[in-house]
Amino acid sequence: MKRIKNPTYWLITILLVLLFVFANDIALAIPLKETYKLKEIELNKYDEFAKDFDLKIESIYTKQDIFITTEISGYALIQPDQASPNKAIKLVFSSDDKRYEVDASIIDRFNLNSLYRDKGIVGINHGFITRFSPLKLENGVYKLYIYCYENENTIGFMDTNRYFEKTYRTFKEVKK
Amino acid sequence: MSVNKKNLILSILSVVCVILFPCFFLYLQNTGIAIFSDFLNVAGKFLLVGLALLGLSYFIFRKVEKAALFSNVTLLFLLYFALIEKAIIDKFPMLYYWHIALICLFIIFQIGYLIYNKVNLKLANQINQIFLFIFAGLILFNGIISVPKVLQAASNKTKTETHENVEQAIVVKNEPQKELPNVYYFIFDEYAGFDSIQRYCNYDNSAFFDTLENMGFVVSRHSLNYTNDTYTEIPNLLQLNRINSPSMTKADKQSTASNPFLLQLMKEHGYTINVLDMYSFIDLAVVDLYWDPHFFTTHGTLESYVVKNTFYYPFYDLDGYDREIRHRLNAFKYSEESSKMADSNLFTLGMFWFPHEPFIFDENGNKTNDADHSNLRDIEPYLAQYKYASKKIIELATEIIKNDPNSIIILQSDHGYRYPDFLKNLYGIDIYDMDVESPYMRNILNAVYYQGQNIDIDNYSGINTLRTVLNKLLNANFELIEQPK
Repeated sequence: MKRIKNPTYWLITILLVLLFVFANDIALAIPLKETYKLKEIELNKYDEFAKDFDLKIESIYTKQDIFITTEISGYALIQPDQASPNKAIKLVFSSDDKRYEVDASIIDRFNLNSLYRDKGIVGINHGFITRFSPLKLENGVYKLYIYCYENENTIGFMDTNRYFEKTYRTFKEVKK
Repeated sequence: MSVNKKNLILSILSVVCVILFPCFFLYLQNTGIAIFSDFLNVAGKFLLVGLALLGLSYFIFRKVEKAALFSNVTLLFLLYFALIEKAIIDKFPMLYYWHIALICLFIIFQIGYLIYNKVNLKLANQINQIFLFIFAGLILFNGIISVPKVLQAASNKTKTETHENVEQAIVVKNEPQKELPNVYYFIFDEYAGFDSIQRYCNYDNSAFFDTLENMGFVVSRHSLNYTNDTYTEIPNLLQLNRINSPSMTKADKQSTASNPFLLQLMKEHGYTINVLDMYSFIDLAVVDLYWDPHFFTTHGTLESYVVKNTFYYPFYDLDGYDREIRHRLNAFKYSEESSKMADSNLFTLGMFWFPHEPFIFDENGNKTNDADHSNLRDIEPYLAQYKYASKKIIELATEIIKNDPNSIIILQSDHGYRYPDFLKNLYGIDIYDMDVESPYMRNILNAVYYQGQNIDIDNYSGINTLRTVLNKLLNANFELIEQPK
């Protein structure tokens, strides 16, 4: 058997080629501070929980960094009659043939006191904020849904009626 | 192991020229604007990187000629990475930073392999000489073409000194020191006057000016300043005279504001000087109290311009804009707190780099998308930050009048919104007649609260407004200078 000349050279060359092929997956798998990962989910996941609830997207901010990091914040609550220590909110981006979800951090919102008072809401942990890279999304237009889990009996999935377009270089809200 | 001294020097020099060329290029292209100490700082850091790379390469290649050749090639990729990335992405938009980094790494590795195995020392030395010839030549060429700018800067410096002598001729009647009301003087960079914002953004800012009038301010909606250059106008305002001119170098303009006449005057009349200075105009040794923001900005520095072309650009100053946001909000907070510092004889001077770009706030004070931070081509980012600045100014004035109703508050800007100037000089869009637009770009914010009393500042320039206020406050006899046209 013929011996390979310069095995180190070939090893490094092949390694660089492999890194190039899987570069997106590797780069997007790097854990970044206070940043969540988008995950692809089944197209009809959460549809069974569809219902309206109090929800507001308050700010959308896109950084022009190499990950096009996007920050979305607001609040969501399903009038819980008891505290929701395990509350969870997810943002779900859905197109005709793909659906992705991203987790959000739950934050206390003291400044919504009047809303809580008017509706008899328990607890203050109804705000959310998430940061994620949208690069995992396939290019296209996505509708934003919010999944809100208060407790086992109180779960909602609501259409925000807001659309986002993802291209190779941008992720921005669009009118439809 | 013997090393040819001539080759050693040539090799090191070639690396030094390659690594320093971007620093020299930007510094020399901006003669009069860039600051020499900034150049030394960034050139020093780059030089260290270049020499470290050369040292590392020497460990691999064991020949200084080959190590220098490899370093030079690698530096080309590192220093001009953003340009390479842009060129590739234009053709292959699905590729990202990491793909380009891997492509560059692949090419560097292949070239390194070739240098190690196939290139002899003589050839390596010859290629290094070509690198040296090209980059030293480019540095020299840029140095030569910047000579006229240097000469012009030197000539303007002489003119400044003559103006300074004229300044000393202003006569002020010194009165025995007595209890005088607190004075708050705030300058907001690029806050467009009534006509300026109407013309370029089609925005009627009457609500802002009406609110000021209802609070007891006298407002001049059509006031102009003499130029639309911050580093000319702010020092001139602080000197109460036209000392600086736009053709002077930035450093010379800045130097005339270090211990300005206005502060000396107020001090002579028994005022404690309290300064908030976002430009580092004022020598803090001459003031009594000052805002210490523990803040540094990389926005618009020579270093930021050099680094933004390199492979390092995504990692450079990652929280810079969050810091800018905190910085501006803290400045307003400090200004509000100043109204609780003393019952009398406090002169607060606040120079705000705001609503000038970077455009970091929308009209509600939320942070904007990064793409808008330096977007001077569209009016929306400026207008949004302008509206937020208006809210903050009203809040500030309200707080001061609440805490110190017997005070004097002067709100001014250095110039208006320079939209035609940005389009022409930054984007090459020459659709405005600059002679026609000049007054609109110089239309300033000019409002005075004089203990709720009336004071005539209608159509006055910033300097004449200051002189009018000081005449009334200090019983001085400043004559009004020629109004801007």
